[in-house]
Amino acid sequence: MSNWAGLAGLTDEELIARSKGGDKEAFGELVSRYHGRVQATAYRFCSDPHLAEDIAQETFIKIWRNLSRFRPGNFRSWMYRIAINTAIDYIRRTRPTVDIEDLPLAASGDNPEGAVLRLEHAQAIRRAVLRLPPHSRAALILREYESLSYKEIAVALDIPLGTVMSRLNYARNRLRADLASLLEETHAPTNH
Amino acid sequence: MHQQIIDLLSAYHDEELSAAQRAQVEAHLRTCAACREQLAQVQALSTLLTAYSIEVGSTKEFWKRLAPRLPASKRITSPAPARIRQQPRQPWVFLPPLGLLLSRAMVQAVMFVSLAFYGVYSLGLLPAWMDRALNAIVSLPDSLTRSITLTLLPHVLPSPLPSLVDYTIGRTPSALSALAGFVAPSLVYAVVAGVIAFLYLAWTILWWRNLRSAPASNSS
Repeated sequence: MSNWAGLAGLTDEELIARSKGGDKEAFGELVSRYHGRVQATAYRFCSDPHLAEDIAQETFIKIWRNLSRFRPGNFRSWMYRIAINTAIDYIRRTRPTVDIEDLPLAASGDNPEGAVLRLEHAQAIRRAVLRLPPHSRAALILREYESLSYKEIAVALDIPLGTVMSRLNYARNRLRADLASLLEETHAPTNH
Repeated sequence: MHQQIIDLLSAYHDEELSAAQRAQVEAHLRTCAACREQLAQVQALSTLLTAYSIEVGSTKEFWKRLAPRLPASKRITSPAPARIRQQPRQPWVFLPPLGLLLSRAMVQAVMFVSLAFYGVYSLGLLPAWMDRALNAIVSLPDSLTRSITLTLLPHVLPSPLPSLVDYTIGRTPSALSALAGFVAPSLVYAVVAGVIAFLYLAWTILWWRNLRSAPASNSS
């Protein structure tokens, strides 16, 4: 979705260059491209929809203020780095009001029973993700939900590639243990 | 070997292994049912995690709330969080002001010693050997004498300014040339000290401004 005619065809780099010159509309287009990803990342990180919006707002304000310092490169990694750091800072400062029962799940065409089951599964996953240590949680979210490469995750979290691998391994092993029953329901073991 | 492969399964699933590692894992998977099961679980977990997408509010509303909060000029910066503000340590940045301070202190010290020496000299309290040394300096070629005058003993030996004054008014020695003899080296030192102080102040201001405009560097 683009709010500004004529800007939708521009690349991120072009929008960044215009934003650096103080063009708020160009920045608005950049926000419209990434707002959903940033807010969803923040939400998955803290499970508090109101806090997630605050984190997303703060993230874009920091991006705007520091765009002049951004060197041409991977904007997504830089943006996620700011988002994750902001989320970690917020969680340290504020105790999130985790409202697992009120998950803003995307609508599905399930019947009421199916919808309840779906919600239960989503809640179980959310709880398991929240139990992960923040740094492993961040690596998992960036990989599983944002599809960042290991290299991009390493840049975003400012850690070596080996650490990305070990954090993802740890997170997935913990989740496999925590969600064992759910995995059994949804996955029949393979025996080749 | 088995544990090594287990550690690589996650990256194998994410297609983040090198060709050689990938071949190694695939060779192992052909013979190890436990690892195949583990890989299947990693894949199932991935499917499970991404099965439930979440909804966020509309971008239009988000922008409506965000736009008024953006500073008019990006030059107006506010402190970014500590981890973003963090800059690489560069101890060498302190060398220029340190050097300037030391130079300033040295100029001040020379000035002080020179004045003290001048006082002793004026009162006729110099030991005989020092008198001889001064006479030896004065007997050196003119340009050398003047360099020594301007660097080591500005208040004691003749300096260019009184000579110029003498030449201009055609009298030797005069009260004016004596005054000039005292003032000239002081002026030289005052100017040097002023330049050093200016350089130091300019550097400090630049350094402080740089520190305030905290960079959110995307360096990696």
